[in-house]
Amino acid sequence: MRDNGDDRRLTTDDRLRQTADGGRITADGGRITAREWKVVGASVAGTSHLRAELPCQDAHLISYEEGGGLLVAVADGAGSAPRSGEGAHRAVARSLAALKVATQQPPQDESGWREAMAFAFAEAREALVNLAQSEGEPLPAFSTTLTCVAAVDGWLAVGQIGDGAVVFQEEDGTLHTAVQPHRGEYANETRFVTSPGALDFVEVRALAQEVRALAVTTDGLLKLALLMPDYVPHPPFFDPLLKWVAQMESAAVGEEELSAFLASERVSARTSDDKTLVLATRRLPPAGDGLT
Amino acid sequence: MEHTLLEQTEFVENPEPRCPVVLLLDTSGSMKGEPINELNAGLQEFDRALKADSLAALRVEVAIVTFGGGVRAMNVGGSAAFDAEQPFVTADSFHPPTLDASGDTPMGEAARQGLALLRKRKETYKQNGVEYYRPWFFLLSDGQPTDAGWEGAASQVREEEARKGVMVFAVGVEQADMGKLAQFSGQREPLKLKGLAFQELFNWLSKSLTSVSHSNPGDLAPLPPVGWAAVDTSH
Repeated sequence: MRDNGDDRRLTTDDRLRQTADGGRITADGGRITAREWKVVGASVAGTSHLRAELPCQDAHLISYEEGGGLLVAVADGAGSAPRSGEGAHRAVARSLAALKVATQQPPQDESGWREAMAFAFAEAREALVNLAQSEGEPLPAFSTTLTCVAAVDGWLAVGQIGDGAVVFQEEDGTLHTAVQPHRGEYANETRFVTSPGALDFVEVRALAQEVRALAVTTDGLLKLALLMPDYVPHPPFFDPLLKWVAQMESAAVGEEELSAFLASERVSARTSDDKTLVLATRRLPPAGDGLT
Repeated sequence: MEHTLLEQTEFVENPEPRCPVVLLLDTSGSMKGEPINELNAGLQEFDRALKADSLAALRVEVAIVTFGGGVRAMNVGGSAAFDAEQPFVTADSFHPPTLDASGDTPMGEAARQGLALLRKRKETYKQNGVEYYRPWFFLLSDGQPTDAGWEGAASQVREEEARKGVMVFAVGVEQADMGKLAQFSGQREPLKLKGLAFQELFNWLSKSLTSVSHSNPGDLAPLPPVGWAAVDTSH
């Protein structure tokens, strides 16, 4: 379910207000630094979790601030770990708080973004270590994957431990997977923020490019949305969703509709896992504003 | 409007992840009569219970290797075309065989072949980009190995198990030599079947495989309680 931690500074309504005036361009030294985003996200319990009376152990958090770009974190708590849902919530809250700090002065090169992502994941792991200590639990009780995305200042940066997926759409409409989901040898294995030495395995990709749209998801939707084994985005899955979010009238209604879609029979027939989807699309600038 | 677009989403048809299991079944002369009949009934139950779960039916892949007077990979796909090197079929096209009992107990050779089949199957999955679960190696006997060199085969199985390459389950029937069966696993004691409760055993096996084949990354696939084992009175 949606994270209600202190770090969620923006409510759905705030985000809506920010996007309501549409297509405004902020310029910095004559260069476009940010266009408006429309963004919505939902996390929904899978049927296997409902059967086992487990809560939804996925979490997501979105931060969208004027001029600050878009930050997204999603996490998937391990079904086998008793308190992994808490781990997922803590991981998205702390990593996003760290990314906000790291992007106050947005990195301007790839190594800067690698550092920013390394910082976010180190903070997330630290938060889980502290949580485990204060709760008197072993660290693996809070096992969770973590995927962080920053679309800031002409950069797209992604960090990941585990098997989430980030798909981005270029200006020409083509879709790409930003980082490969990590799987172990077996279909029910992945890596967690809490795994030994996990910080050595943060997959990072930083691209100096504006993207038109983004989709961030946990593994529950992988098999429906990406063509195995190379995790190629499936346009008939993503195109309608990205069109939908572009037309979405309000984030509140959008969230309801997206949750209903994720919980629908059609989706549940194909995946029994928890599923999270965050969709973001830029409003294109109005025609005739002099931009080329 | 929005709803229409959400309903327009189309899903990828990815292959189902597979969970291979090789059943190594003792069909030596001592299994003649009621034991082999009950084993055959157990295989019928295995078939029924696996097919009862639509996902398991697509994901669990079964091969049977018998050892009784010789070692033989069985044709369990019900079709004339059969490749003894690739004897796996998904549960939905599994045809339980009717086994006969005769001869000695070449358990070591059967174990070696079973392991080779699982390794080869994994290679095939990899080449085809199919995800898979850890394979199951299920060994059932009412006696003891009669082939020279079975200890070497047992240690190969233990090594593969230690590398997390395979899950090993050994089950002893009636007069089985439990000490020798124990040498096929370093992680799990062999269990003694209660009487000839093959149907309970295979019902449990199908439920266990169903549980594994439903598991998602990070899940523990809990195995159902074992109701078919005799109480161990050896201690």
